[in-house]
Amino acid sequence: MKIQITLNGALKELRVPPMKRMLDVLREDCGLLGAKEGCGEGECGACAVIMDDALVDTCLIPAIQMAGRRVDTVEGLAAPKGMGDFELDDLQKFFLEEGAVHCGFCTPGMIMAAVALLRRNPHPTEEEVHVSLAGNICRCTGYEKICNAVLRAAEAGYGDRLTPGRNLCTEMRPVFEGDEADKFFSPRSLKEALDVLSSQRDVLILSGGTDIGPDTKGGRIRPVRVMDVFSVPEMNGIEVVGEGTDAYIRIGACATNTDIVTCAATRKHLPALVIASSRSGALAMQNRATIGGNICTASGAGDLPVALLALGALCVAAGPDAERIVALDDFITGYRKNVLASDELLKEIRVPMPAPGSRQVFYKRGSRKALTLSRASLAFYVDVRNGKIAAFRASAGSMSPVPIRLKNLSAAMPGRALSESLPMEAARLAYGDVNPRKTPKYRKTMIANLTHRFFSEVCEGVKA
Amino acid sequence: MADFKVVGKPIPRLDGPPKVTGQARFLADRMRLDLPGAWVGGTVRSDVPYGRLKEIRFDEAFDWSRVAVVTAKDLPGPNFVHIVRDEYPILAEETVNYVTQAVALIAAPDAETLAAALAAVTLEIEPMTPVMTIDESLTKKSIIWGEDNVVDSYRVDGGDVARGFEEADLIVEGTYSTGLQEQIYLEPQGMGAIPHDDGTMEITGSIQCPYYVHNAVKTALGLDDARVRVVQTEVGGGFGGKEDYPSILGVRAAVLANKIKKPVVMIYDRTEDLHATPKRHPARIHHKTGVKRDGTITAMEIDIVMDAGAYTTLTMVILQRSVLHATGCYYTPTAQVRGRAVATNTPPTGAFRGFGAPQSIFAVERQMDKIADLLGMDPLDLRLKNTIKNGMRFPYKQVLESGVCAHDVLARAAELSGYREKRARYAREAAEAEARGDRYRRGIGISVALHGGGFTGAAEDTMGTTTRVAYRDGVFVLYTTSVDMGQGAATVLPQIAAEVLGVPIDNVRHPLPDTYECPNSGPTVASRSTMFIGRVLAQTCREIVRRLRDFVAELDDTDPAETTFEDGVFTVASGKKTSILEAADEYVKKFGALEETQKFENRGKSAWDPEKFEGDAYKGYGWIAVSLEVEVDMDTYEANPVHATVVAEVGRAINPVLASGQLEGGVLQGCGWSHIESVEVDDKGRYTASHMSEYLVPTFLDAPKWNVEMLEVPCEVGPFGAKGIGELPANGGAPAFLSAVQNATGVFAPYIPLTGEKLWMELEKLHGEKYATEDETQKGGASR
Repeated sequence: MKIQITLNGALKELRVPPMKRMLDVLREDCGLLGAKEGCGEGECGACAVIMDDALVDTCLIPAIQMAGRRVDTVEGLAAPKGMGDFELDDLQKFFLEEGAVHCGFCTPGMIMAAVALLRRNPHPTEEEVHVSLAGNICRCTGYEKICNAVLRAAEAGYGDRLTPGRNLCTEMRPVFEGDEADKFFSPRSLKEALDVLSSQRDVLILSGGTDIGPDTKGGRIRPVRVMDVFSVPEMNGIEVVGEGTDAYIRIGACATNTDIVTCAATRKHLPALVIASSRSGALAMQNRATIGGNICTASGAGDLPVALLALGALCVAAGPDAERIVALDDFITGYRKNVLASDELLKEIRVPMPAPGSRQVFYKRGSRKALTLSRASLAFYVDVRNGKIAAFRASAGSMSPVPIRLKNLSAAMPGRALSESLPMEAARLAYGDVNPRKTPKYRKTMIANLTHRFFSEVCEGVKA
Repeated sequence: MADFKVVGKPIPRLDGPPKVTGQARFLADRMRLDLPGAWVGGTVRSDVPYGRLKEIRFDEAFDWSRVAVVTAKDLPGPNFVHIVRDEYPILAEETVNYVTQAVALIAAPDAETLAAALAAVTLEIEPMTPVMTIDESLTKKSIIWGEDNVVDSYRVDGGDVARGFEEADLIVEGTYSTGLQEQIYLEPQGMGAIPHDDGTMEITGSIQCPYYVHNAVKTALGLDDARVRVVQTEVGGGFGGKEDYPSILGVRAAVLANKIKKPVVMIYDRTEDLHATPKRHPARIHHKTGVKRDGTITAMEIDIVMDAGAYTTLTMVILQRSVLHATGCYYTPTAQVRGRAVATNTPPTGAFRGFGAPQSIFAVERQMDKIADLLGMDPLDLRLKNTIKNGMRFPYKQVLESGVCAHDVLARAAELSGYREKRARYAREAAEAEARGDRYRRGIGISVALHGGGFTGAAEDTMGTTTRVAYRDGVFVLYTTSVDMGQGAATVLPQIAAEVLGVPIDNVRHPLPDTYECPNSGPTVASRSTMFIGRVLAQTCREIVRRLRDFVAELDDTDPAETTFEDGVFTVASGKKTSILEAADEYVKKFGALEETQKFENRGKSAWDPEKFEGDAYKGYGWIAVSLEVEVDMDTYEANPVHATVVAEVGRAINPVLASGQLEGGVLQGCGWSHIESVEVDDKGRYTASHMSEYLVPTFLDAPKWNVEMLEVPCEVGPFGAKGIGELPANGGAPAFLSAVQNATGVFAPYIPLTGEKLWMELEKLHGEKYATEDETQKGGASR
C-alpha cells in the first residue's frame, strides 16, 4: 500500500502494509524512535503523537488510516543540532526545569499530549491539564511536576504560538497494491462502502480501531478483509434534525467520543452521553473511539450504549437497498453480537430530543479515575410533570454480557409521584434488577446507591 | 546551609535533552539503529505450577530449520542464573515450579516466525500437588523447598519481651497483610546479546546492575571476565524490577546468541512482563505490642512471613531488610522479631522499591493506629510519644548518636498539613455526612517511616565500591556503574563531582555504564547511588584535586601544603593562580593522561555481626512522614488521594527538584498499592493481570496535590551529608492512605490493597447490608 502523509511539516510517501501499526510505521519506516511501546493496547500513552490536531495512541492505528493525514511527533518540536547538542523549545525546557522528566520513557508521549492540549486550549486550567494528560501514564513522578511544566509553557504563550501545519498531501486515500485491493478497502462514501459489503465476504469494519487494535494484538481476531469506514462522510457529523416532538439528534456512527464531548448539540441536549463519552478511556482513545464502534462491539462494559439506552436511542442500519431503523435494545443481540446483516452498516444513531426540563445522568464506577473500564455504569432519563414521573428510562452496564435496562424499576416509576420514600424504593428495585456474575452484591449495591442518589436529587425538596 | 556552587541546586537533568526530544535510546531504539540483523528471542513457558517435565514436543509441521532452539540440555554452562544463591535455573530441567517458568528458548529472524515457532511447541508436564499460598507452604501441603518450605529466616533478639509485656497495661495484637505489587516500569524488560567476532559477548539492555548481569552471563557461558561486556541502554524505569531479572533475561539472550552467533534481542510485551517478572513479596505480619496507659511501648513481638515464590532470587536480602525495619520509627525497650520467607509454586517475587521495608512499615504503622484507637489517643500523639531518638537503641542493637529525625518529620508534616484540626473535623463531619447520606467524605491520615540507605549489614564495607574519573578535553568523565533509570544518578553524581572539582556542571559527564570502561561500583539498588557511589566519587575527585595541587605546586616549586584550592582555582604560595582545567590540561600534556580510581574505605570497624544478626545495620537512615488526605465516594466506594504533605529528612538534597520528584513518585506508588494496584495468583497459579487495563497504576487524576518539604541533617557517610532517598517514600504512602480512609469512613483495614470491593465489605461489616432482600439474607450472603 502506498500512502502520503504530512510528517512534521514535510510530505512523506510510504509503502507499508495496510494493517501495520502506526507506531511501527513511524519507528521502522520513518526512522522516528520518539514514540515508545509501553503496552501496545492504548493503556499507557507512551506512543502518543498528534494526527490532524488530535492526540492518538499510535499502537492502535493501522497504517491504512494514516493516509492523507498530518502527523506531528516529538521529533518535529526541536531537532538536535548535533551530537549531544539540542535546541529545546519552551515546553521541553520547562519539562526539564520543573523536573517533569525522570526515566524519559513516557516523556515523548506526555509532551505530545501537552502540545495537543495547548494547541486547542492555549491557556488551560490545572484541571484541564490533568484530564487531557490522564491517558499518559508516568510511573516515576507524582504528576504535579508535569502539570507545572505545561502550565508554565502556557503562561509563556507556548500555545498561542502553535499553529496547525498545512497538509501537503495530494493523495488522501491509500493506494492498494497487488492482492491488497481485494482485502483492504478505504471507501469515502456510504455507497462505496455498501458496495464493498455486497461484493465481499468476511469484511471487518474498522472505525476508530480502539477495540480492533487490542483484539488483533491478543490474537482474538485475525482479519481477512478490512474496510476502514472512519472517513465515510455519511457516517460522520452530529446535528439536530427536525422540530418539536419529532426532533432528534443525529449522530454519525463514526462520530468519536471527542466529537460528542465537543459538539454544541450533544452538550446541550445529551449531557448523559457527553459524560459517558468523556469518561470512556482517556483523550487519545476518545479521539478515535466511535459511537458506532462502541455499539457494534456490544460489550457489556461499553459506556455509550448505557447512556443511549436511557436516552431511547435508535440505530439506523444502511443496507444495499434500504435503511432500517432498529431500537438500540434490539440492535445489540448478545455479547459482541449485533443485528446487522453482512451487507449492512450502522450508519447513524438517532436520539429523540429530550423533553424540555427532563433530567438525564450517567454514572460510572471504574477502578481508577481515568483510563479505566467500567465496573459499574448507570444512566437515567426522567421527565417529571407536576410532581409525577411522566417518562422514565434506566439502564446499566457491566452487569451482564450486554448493557441492560433496569426492567422492574422502569416499569414501576412512570406515573409515580415524587416523595421522600421514592429514592429507597427505587434503589431496592434497581438492586433487584441487576445480577452481575462477578462480585454481585458489591456491584448491585453500587447500582442501588447511585439510583438512590439520582432519585434523591430528583425528589429534593419534596415532603412526604 | 553551607555555601555550595553546584550541590543543592535544581540543575535540570543532564540526560534530559535527549529524553524530551525523543532521541534517548532505549533497547528497542538501539535495536532499530544498531542491530538491523538481530534475531528476536522468545520463551516457552510452563502453564503448570508444579510438575515433572516429561517432554518438550516440537510440532513436525513447523520447519525448525528456520529458528534456533535451546533447552536445558543445550546450555553451554551450568544451569543457573547467578543471583543470591546459584539455584534459579536458566531453563527448567526435570521439574517446573511455577507457571511461566521458562522451559525452552527460541530465536527467530522475525517476530512472526517466532510466534509461529512458540505456538508449535507443546509441553508434557505431569502435575504434582502445588503449594499456592503462604498457609499451604507453612502447613507443608507439599515440600517444595528444603525440609520445611522455609527459604530463609532471620531473628532479631531485642531483649526480654516477656518482661516488657508484664510491664504493659495493655497488650494489642494484630495481623497485617500486603499484596503483590508490580513495578510497571513504563519500558518493559528487554535485553540484547551481541556476539562479537573476537569471542566477546556484549550484553545490552534495560538494567539496574551492570555487574550482576556481567557475573551471571560469564558464569552461564563459561567466559572469562574480559569476554563479557555489559553496556547499559537508557532505562525506562526500574523500581527494583530490573535488579535481578535482567540477569535472567540477559543470560537467556546470551545463550541464544551464543548458539546462532548472531545478535539476539528479547523484549517483553506488557503481557509477558506482567505474567513472568518478579513483583513485591506479599507479606503477612503479626504484631503483639505491650503499651502503658500513656501510650509508652514496652514490648514488640513481630512475626513476618513473606511469600518468596518458587526460588530465592533476592528473597534472602529482602527478608533481612524487612526484619530490620519491622519496628519502624519506634523505640521499644524489648523486642523480638522473627522473619520467614516461604516457598510457593508461584513466580519468584523480587525487588521493588523499599525492598521488604514497605511491608514492615505498613504493619507497624497500622498497629500504631490500632493501639491509638484502643487507648483513645490520636495516632499522631501515640507516634510522637514513641519515636526513636538520638542515642536510643534499635532492637538489633544499633545506636544512632545523631541524625534521628522521626519526631521532626512527623511533627512538621502534621503542622504543615493541618493534621490535628482536620483529623478532628473530618471525623465529626463523617458522622454528620453519615446521617445526611452525603456522597463524598474526607479523611486524613499520617504515617512515619525510615529507610536504611545502602546495603544491609556489612555489605557496603565488603562490596568494594569503586569509581574512576578521567579527564578528557576539558571534561571530567565519571565512570561508575550507577544506572540512571529516572531517579537522577546521571545528574546527581556529576553535581557531586563538579562541587568537589570546583568546575561548572558542563565540565563533568556521566556516560551510560559500560563494564569495559567502568570499575564495579556495585548495583543501582538500595538507595545507595548518591550516598555510597557519590561518596567514593567525591573521594576520587578529591584525589584528583590533591594530585593537581601537588602538580601545580611542583611547577611553581612551592610547598603543596601552602597551595590552596577554592572555586576551582589553585593558588600557590607565590600567589599565582591556576584553574583546575588549566592544571589538568598541563598535567595531561606532561603525563599523557589524568585519571584516578578510588575504592570505598570504611574508616571505622564494620559493626555488624552477621551471625547474631545485629549491630550497625545501616550507615544512615532517611526519615519521612506522609500526611495524606483522601476523598471517599460512599456511593461507589472509591477512595482517592487529594492532598499529600510529605516531609523527609534526606541528609542533603543534592538536587532538590529531582529529590522531591523521587519523594512524590514513591509516595504515589504507595497510594496505588493501597487501593488500585491489585494482582493475585489464581487457583491455576497464574497472575490475574495480563494488561495495564487490569493492573491499574495511578493516572494524572489519581494523584494528589503535593506539598513536599525536605529537612537536611547531614549524615557522616554520604557526600555533602546526603542520604539515600530513592526507596524511603515507598514506605510511607500506604499506611497514611489507610488511616485517612479510616478517618473518613470508620473502617480499620489491616490489609492492602483496600480495593473498592473490600471497602464495601468492610462498611457492610460495620453497618450491615443496605439493600439485601429477605431471600438473600436467608442464603447468608452466599455471594460473598
